[in-house]
Amino acid sequence: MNWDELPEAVRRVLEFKEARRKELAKLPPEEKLRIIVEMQKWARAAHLATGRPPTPVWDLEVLMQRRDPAANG
Amino acid sequence: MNEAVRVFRELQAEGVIRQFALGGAAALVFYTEPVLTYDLDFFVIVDAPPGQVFSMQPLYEHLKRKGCTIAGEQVMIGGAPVQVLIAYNPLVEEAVREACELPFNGEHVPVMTPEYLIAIALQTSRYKDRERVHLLLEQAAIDEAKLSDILTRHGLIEAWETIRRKQ
Repeated sequence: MNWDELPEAVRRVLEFKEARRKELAKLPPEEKLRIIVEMQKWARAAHLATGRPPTPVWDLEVLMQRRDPAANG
Repeated sequence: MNEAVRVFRELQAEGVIRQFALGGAAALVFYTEPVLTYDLDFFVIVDAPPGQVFSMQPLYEHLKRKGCTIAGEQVMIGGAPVQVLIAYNPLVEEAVREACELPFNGEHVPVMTPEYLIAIALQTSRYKDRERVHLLLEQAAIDEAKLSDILTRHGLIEAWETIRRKQ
């Protein structure tokens, strides 16, 4: 089945998802890192709920800490 | 991330490593939609005689002295597990050397460029690597001439053509 043969409703959903992914790609890296941490929390919850060992979740606060802002860049 | 970069810059200043750059899935935050990952892959170039097996131990010792915790093959630096990877072949070494300093959280991070991330993913070619190639091609600004040059010089044209046919 090619794109044109898909039902209109399905195409709309896929187009929405595609547009959302493109929006996400344009976010600043700091924001994407926050999203990754949220993904890690979900992944960890899913692992625990299914009796698997917990997966790591980054400490976002520490991850974004800057010790000496003047020393770099 | 900032703390990890600070630690690597110190190692560089002390001559422990020659150069370093962020690669792997974490590098994608600079070019594509976010992708789930659990560690920050930092690739390093060290001075080692050609052909000699490099031991990570001295590097880990330096990191421990800086207050980092070593857990297996990962180093906990500033809130995230960091995977320190020696630039293991000429392509990866070149990717580290050609990395761009990109702004992050008020500072700068040396990040592998999307062309090198594609080339490395083609070389490793696991399922997730091939997915990354598609993601980068779809969402990152790629310098096609530069990519073509890298792929040609590192013998990756066939792998590239295979993946393009499947797109």
